[in-house]
Amino acid sequence: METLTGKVLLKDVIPVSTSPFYICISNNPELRGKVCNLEFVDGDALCVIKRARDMVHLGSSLVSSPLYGNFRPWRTPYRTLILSGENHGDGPKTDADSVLLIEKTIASYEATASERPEPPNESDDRSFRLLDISLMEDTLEKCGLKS
Amino acid sequence: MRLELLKAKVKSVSWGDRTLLKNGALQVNREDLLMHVADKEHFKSVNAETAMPGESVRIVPVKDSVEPRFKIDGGEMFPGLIGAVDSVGEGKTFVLDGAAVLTCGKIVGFQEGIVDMSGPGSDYTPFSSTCNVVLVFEPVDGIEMHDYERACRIAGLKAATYIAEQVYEAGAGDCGSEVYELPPFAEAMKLHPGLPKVAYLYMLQTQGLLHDTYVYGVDAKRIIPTLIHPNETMDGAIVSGNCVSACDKNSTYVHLNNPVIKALYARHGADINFVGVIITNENVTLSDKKRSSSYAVKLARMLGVDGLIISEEGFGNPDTDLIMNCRKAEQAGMKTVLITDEYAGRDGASQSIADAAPEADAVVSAGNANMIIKLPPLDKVIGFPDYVDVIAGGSAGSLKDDGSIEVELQAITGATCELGFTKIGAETR
Repeated sequence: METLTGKVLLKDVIPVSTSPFYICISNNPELRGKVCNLEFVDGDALCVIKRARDMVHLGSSLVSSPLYGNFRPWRTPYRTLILSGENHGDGPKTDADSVLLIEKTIASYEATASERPEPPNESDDRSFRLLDISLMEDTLEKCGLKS
Repeated sequence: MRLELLKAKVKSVSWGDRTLLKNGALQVNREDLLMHVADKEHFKSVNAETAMPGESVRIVPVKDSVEPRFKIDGGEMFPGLIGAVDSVGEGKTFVLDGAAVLTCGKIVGFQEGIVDMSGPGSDYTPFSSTCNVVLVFEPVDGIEMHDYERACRIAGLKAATYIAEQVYEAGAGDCGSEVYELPPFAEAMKLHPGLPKVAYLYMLQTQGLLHDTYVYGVDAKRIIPTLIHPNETMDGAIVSGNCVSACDKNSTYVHLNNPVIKALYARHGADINFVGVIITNENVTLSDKKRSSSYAVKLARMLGVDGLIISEEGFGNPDTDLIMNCRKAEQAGMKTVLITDEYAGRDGASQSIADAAPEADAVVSAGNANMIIKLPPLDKVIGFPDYVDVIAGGSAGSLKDDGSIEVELQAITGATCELGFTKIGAETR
């Protein structure tokens, strides 16, 4: 992986989106400066998912599936999720599908907590960051979140 | 639509002065092959090796496998990628049955696969039974990851087609013949009265860069579900660009030889009326998942089928698509059978797929990908063995000092293929 560049996947710079409807939450440092409406979570993947859970209960809906690539929980240290921030009518209304999905994801993390691996070495860490971007890039673009 | 596969049996592979097949012995001119796949823009080096069943050889990390095929009477293999975009699935196609081109390189190291040609690992990968030409790539410095993936994918397709074409032109000798034919829909619907009409919903991995599948060269995450003739799948219409999850990714070889489609053909007119194939995708957003599952099931309803076979590719995120497809089809009155694999933890005690529904009451499992397997050291390694420690299903320390490996089945190419293209299984009759 040392021969591969990390800068490329988000190369097509487009004007900063002013869309109020989507927010990206992530603990992947590679997204800093590359995504607008980014809430960076300084924590592990489960922290990202729990932050999404809190937002869902405040009226946001999941845009991207909380199930992630072809990974079991804990397999990668990074998680990026996109939520819709729109309210449904008068005040926040909780989206039941989003609640079920995010709670199921949290449950699967907690049930497999013993599988949590050691932190990756630098090279692998870089691969995990790139893979996280590669999984989300198309969706970030569709949501107008690339900056 | 009628497709005839002319199959020449390959029993061995070696390098030689010419590329030809004689009495089952495939000989390949290595220099010509390397010249044909050379790509200085993307590859610092390309190496080629052979690997035969039973040899003490480990290949890692394997990206794709491709069966050598060549269209004899017009048309081109792998349309939209190395061939023109004309439709395939008709006419005659020459097949080197028993041979494979494997591509090997560092793309997403921790998600690629191991192929052991002997020992306990060879029981789990179908590509321990093929006579393999292995292409090993090293990228030029600074290349973008997805450009490198594309270059490897194209090189594998070109190599497979080149070998088949050279052998055919040299005179392949005796070939077996398999004919696949289904009538147009108007006729198909009236045939076999009394037999249940069955379609196949073929899910393709499309979650993002390095998780892609191509249909006539089109990135399948950008399609809505559509009908495809089963013969097109056998003729190169579907190509794998999926670098992840070795055990249950469908390589291009497997798309060409989909056992679900072969089984449906075999039972067509006997106990079912096989009316067609619908391809669909496995996207990231929930709205895409809802759109594709609704649209795919709508197509099945338009066909008026009684039953729907649904196969998944990958696990985790696509489990949502699988269950959406199942529920919507069942609620529309169709009986479904799902084909998946399981991630039930190393002890087999965890919930084995990430989503579930009461309607999913007929499920075929291709095995538990978390099962641990010990692979003893082999005499020769083709590729990059250092990646074993980080490969999917492996963890730090998986690669032992003596060259042995302790990994989950997830790391073995094709071990839990959700199309059933596996060496170990059980069948009820």
